[in-house]
Amino acid sequence: MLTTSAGSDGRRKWLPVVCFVILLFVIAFGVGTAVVSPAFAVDQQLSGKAADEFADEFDDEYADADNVIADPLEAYNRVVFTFNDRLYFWLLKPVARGYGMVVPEPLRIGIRNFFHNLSAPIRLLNCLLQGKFSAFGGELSRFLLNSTAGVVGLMDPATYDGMKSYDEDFSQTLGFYGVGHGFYLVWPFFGPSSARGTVGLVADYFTEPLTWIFRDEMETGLAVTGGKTVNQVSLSLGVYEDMIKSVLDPYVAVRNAYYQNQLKKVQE
Amino acid sequence: MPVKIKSFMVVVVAAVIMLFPWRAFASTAAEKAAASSPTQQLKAGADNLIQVLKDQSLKTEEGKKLLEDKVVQLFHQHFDLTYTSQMCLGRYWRKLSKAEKKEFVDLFTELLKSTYLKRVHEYSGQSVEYNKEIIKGRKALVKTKFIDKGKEIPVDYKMLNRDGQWRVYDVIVEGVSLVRNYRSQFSSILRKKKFADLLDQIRDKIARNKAAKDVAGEPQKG
Repeated sequence: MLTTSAGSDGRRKWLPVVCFVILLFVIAFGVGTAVVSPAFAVDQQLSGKAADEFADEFDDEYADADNVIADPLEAYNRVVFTFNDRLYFWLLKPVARGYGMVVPEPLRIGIRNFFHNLSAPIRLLNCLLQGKFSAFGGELSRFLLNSTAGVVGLMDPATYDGMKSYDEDFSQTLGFYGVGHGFYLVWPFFGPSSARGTVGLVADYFTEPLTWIFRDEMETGLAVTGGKTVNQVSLSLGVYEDMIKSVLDPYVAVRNAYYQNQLKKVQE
Repeated sequence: MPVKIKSFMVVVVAAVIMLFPWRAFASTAAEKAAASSPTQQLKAGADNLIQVLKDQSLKTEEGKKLLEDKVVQLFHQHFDLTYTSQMCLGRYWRKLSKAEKKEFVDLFTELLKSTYLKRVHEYSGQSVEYNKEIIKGRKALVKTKFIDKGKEIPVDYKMLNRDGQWRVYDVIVEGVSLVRNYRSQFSSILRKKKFADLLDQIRDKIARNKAAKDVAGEPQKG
């Protein structure tokens, strides 16, 4: 406690400086940590507890992602997939593009609406089979409105009015009753399907009005179906291409997308 | 005696200064955003994107590069690709070193950019409906609907909150989740090959994307 005059003078000099430095340090620390922009902070995100913290809490979210559709016929499926891929790029796409350049988009949308409306019986039947009566009512109202005010389905006033659409088919009906997919199966032309999906396709074929309209003129029926497909493709050009570009293995990507989409449809 | 009191006072003042919550006064974009919801932040990003795409001054040849830079910046701002990468690798993520993780995130980001950046130019103002928002702790699900050519396409966004900023880590279109889709591919590769091989495949794909023609006419090999 005894201080000499020389010592106290010395203390008087550096103490304020030290306090000032401490103050600066505190301000810098306080402000500095708040200013780091998360935008490019990949390094920050990877370091420390933060990254693993999220991992423990939320990894369960995608734990079932490794649950996939069985694919014992993969070798065969890959060949058909490649065939369909070539078919798309060498035949379907050029035709759809040419068609799209000649036929204006609103008309093509109208044509799509027409065919969608026409296949209402498939949806109606499968809503009933699943006991989804309000969905049945909804689809029926849509069908009636679009067929009348919508001029045989060319227009879609139902969607405009906010009426919900219920896209049910026989494969989903089977799924609803607990029938699994069985295994993945790729059909030439038709694309990705499954054991269950195939049964669904066959059942839908018999409930599709187009089938019965052209029963005696199979060739015309085939041509009409072809036209329907070209029209559909012309409205969604680029979707398949994007997917191919962004993935490492298109076959796996399409298989997975098919499976995920099917799961979602059955859930609805 | 006076010196002792003075130095004691200084120490007290210093202590008070150190304990004062200065951080409360540091108002940054992150903390302002803490007040806004996931949907609001997502919408802000979408609105910014539309602004940038509509900006006439960026439609020139010189402006194109600037446009791309702006879009990339928005992309990084609203997507949490580190977390996406982590979710896409699943249990393999933990086994990686920090350097490997960073390399993977960078490559994966590059892959997504090389595909979707070009597509952004084709966005012609399709309308988006923001329907529902579900928040569970640090995660949120924002359900939207894209209305394109008379067709309604459900698109859901899964978002993660880091320091008040909500960023997208998964996009689910018609029930198909981006993360699940990549995860199935990566695990199918990692089951048979090494991590370095996966990185090579991604690098290879990026190179092929860059070399490929913009207007497709040739089958893109997988």
